[in-house]
Amino acid sequence: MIRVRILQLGLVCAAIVALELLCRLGIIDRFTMIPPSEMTRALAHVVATAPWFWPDVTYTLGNLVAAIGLSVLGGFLVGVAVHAMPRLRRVLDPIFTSYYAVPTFVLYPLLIVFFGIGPTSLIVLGALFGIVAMIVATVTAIDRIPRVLLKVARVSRLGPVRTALLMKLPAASPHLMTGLRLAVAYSVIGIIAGEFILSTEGIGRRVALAYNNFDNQTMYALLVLILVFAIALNAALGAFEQALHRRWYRS
Amino acid sequence: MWFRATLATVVMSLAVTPACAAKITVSQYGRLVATLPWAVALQKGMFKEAGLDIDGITAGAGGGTSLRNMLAGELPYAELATSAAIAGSLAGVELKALASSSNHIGELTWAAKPDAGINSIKDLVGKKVAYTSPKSITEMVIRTALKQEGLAGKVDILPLGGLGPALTALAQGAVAAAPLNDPALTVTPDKYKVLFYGHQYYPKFTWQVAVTTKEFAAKNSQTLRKILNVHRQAVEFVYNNREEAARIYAKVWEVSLAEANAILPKYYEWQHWSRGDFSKEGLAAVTDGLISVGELKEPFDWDKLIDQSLLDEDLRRPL
Repeated sequence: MIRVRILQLGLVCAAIVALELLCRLGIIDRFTMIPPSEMTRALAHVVATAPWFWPDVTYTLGNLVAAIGLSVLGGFLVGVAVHAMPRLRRVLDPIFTSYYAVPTFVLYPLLIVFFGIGPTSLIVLGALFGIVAMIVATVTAIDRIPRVLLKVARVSRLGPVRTALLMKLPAASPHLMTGLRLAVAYSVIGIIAGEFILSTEGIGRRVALAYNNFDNQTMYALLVLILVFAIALNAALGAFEQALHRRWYRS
Repeated sequence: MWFRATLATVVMSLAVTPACAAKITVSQYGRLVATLPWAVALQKGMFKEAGLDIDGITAGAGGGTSLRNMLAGELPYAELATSAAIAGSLAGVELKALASSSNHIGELTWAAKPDAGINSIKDLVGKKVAYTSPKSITEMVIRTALKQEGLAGKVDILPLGGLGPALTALAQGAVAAAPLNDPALTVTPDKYKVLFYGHQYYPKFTWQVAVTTKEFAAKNSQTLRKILNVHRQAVEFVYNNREEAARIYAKVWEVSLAEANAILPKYYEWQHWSRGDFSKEGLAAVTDGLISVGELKEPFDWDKLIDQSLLDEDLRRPL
């Protein structure tokens, strides 16, 4: 496992070094891309000096937390409801399967008409991106709860609430965690891309402005920020998910 | 077996061989009236007559996108916002502006909802007004208009990303006024109350120019001269064949002929389409506008960007 991690890290480092060389040698021209080392320096400069940085980061993070909350909680509740109604589940299954083939961004103008230009339409867009992943993970998680646990709960005369909290939820948690991870990833994509398309604030909007104004330093600085944030978040959730899987399957 | 393998290879090679004809980039092609000459050039086969292998126009969404499209394309020639050309030049892209496509800002107006009780720019005090993007033409115009009316700082102006989003915000009541252009301006007059036109504050404004890279210009002057001549020929056609120009506008813009005939006349009065000649007054207005939005700190040295050597002599102007 450690060897695999070292190889993965080595691969990433090799890619960054290769990109740095290609940029420094002029094979990739500066108008297209600046070297990774300059991107990092530009990010430090933006963080230290740009007056818009923290307000825009706060705006994006706020939208993201709301979108994640909506997609995870909403997805969980809908997933529980769908699992409890097998006929409804059979009707909705093909829709869930093909949901991510639909470019959800086409709904953004419609969301703006309903919710206005502002955080609400962005949050709904982010939530729409992530909710189905959570619904599917919830349904799968409930499917995978061992029947023996439910028998133990009945034998122990646990009520429905205690059965859910003490038996079902722990058993379902590894799969729910997978859904959470996907919902988070999709919500990040939805929020950042939505801000890129149309927003008055936010990191995605700053990337769009920098792109249009040929400010490659700022654009790549923010892209590095988004990349590092997404990787760190995904890694943290992945580690937590693996810990849950290990705990469950050991027990 | 070898014959079949060779035949299959040849057939597959032909199937994947890309088309040889190139495309030029024209910002807002098919959306802004200023791009009508290019529609005429395509419809009347002017590129082919001039010996140019150009079969289409890539419509850029805006100056920055159009410039990036041009640099990534096979034929680095584009018409785009002068502000984008300046921004690209300042960012280190080696560009040459060869011609102006328009020295008049056209129909750009700010409009309010007809029942909002707002009848002029002075009624916008204390209200929110939309423009498209930071450092755009709409920001330049709204800031200048407010400044000249003594309203600077008294109106809250917001960038909403584009003309469509700005009008959506107006419809929702999120802003009191938004920029508006054709065809909506002419085709749906009852839906909007026009407050002021951009050209009231900028009578001359060289807002769209033809650009190429210095490298391409050095090696392909004949091709560029032909493209500029096609544009001039198309502009002359537009001015001298109003009915046919209206028919082409209706076809490309997908409006009815009646709507096209309602939209176009005012552009002839304004002499909206330039044959390629720059306007000194128009360029000064652009500089003034870019200083007002913080893109420039001092007047721009146009000699660094503009190269009139490929224009016909009668179109060259002292700048």
